[in-house]
Amino acid sequence: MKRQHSVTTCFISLVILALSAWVQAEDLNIVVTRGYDTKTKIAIVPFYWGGSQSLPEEVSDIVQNNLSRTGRFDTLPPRDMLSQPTSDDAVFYRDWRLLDQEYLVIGNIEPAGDSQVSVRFALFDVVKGQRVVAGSQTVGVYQLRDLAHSISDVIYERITGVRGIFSTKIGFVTRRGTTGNEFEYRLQVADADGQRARTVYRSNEPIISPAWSHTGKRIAFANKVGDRWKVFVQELASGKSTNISSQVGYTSSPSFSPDGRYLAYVSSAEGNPELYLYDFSNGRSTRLTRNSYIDTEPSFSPDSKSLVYTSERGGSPQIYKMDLASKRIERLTFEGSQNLKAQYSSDGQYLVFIHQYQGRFHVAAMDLATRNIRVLTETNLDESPSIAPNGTMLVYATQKRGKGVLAWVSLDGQVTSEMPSIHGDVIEPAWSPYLN
Amino acid sequence: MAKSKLIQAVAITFAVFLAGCASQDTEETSGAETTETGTEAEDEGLGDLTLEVEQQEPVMEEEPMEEMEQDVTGEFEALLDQTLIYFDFDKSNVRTEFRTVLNAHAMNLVANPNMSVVLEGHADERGTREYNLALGERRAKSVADYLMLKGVSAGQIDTVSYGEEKPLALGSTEADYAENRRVEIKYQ
Repeated sequence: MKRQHSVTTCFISLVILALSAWVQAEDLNIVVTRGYDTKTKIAIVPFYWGGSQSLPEEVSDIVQNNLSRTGRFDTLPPRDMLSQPTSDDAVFYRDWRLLDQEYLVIGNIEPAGDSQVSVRFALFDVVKGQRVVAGSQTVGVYQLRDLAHSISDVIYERITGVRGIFSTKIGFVTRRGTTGNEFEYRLQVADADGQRARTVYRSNEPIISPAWSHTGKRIAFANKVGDRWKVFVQELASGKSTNISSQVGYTSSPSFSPDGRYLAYVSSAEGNPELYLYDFSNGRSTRLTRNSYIDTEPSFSPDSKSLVYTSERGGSPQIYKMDLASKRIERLTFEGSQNLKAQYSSDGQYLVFIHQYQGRFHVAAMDLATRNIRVLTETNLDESPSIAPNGTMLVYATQKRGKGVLAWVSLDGQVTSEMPSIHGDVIEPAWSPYLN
Repeated sequence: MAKSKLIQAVAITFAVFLAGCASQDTEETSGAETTETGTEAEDEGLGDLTLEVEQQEPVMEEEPMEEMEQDVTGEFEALLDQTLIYFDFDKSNVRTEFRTVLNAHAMNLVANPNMSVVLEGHADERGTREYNLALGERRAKSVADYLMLKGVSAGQIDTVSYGEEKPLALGSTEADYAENRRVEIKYQ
């Protein structure tokens, strides 16, 4: 019963979330380059549409792509199906057992007037021969993509026991050459599958380090404005922004605390790149580090009580941890000539960061209990790893044929996929928290 | 038009300065090799001026004053035309070989207090953007400190880091990286 309840809640919050005025920008496709050997076999029957006009989205295609991209599912092509049921009583488990399937998804969509549609779906366990979950919802036709992500979340959670991340967002920066040596930079926010990218900020000067607030309602980033770098904090719904900057030096590398009270950032206003803590309640900044070395890339622990950051105080950039109450500092990385830009997993058990190994820059993860480091990627020049809120995957920036592209890797290093860019470079990805 | 009319006067001062250094030269070289430790700020760094001095000395003896002025001016201008200062990987100390160029810029700025420069710090693409932003900042500050040590007023210098965002060379070879780890001196 509890399970059924959470599904209902999921659908209600989806409607509340229903987003308006998404500007269609460039859509990015994701290619899975490596996956698990043992995948869950699932058949997703094309959803039946009872209306006359065509729909803007193919819900079952979106669900199929979402599940495939995790590398954990093997989806059955519709042409290989023996039947294509659209209602529960038309499901014959033997058809699917013959095809060696473990799970089955069916669905149908009916017009509900005034650009609304009613969507119903059901997930079946073919091995046990029973329905696992079903749900229905009436939405506007332009919310079908959100609904498809929501259905993917329900299916993923029921099968794996882990909360899905298909309804989350990814922020990133695109860079395109314009005239001569000039570039246009755009801060964009897209669905977790890279679709429906919309521009939230643009500039002719570099934009780096986007960071999400704990609720996902605000995004902070650094932008070069004239001869200064400023940190901007922008509300996504209204586009309203405030900035933190100083008269001299640069200000950059923002990071929100998970409790929503602080923004950690870096400023060189007092001569050297140092960490500061901005308190949203009184608008005041406190300096955290004081030395003659580079301190940068702060990122909060899940309990907001400490920070990990990059410091070259030991001669090369390495990851350190600072307890905010005592200001006590501990060095966390010793392997590798450089370790940079660390971020905690949301359960606090892992750190992911950029690790220089044999002259190449890879994404690595450290198990904080054992301090063992595992290199997760085979690409080089990796930057900006950002973990999904369920801790299963991370997105990072790398280069392919001299172009900046985004890539995904699972925390166990088993699955990788990439998002080829259509124009210019895609850099500095940041995965949002859960948005509902 | 970055260089003022005063340039000739400065150049002559520079030549005299070089000549003055000539006698000290041999003793100075051994003491000036401390760059890798990053202590260049304390180092007066006169050891590298040997080349110019050796060319100038016979000139001073044999040629008329006016011609000498032209030669020295030309040489000084050539130094001022060098506006790129390069750095080692993950380092921000000014390498010894760039002191001559920076000395020329310092003298030019001291002689022309109404002139100002922006020092743009850059890094190669390896490592993260934030760390490279910090590194570019440190490189620009390192050059600024050197110029101020040579008497340039702080008000004439602004620094800005571009991090890895504006590479000069677009490739990913060691030579490309070396070209991108730089400070650009830009006269305003």
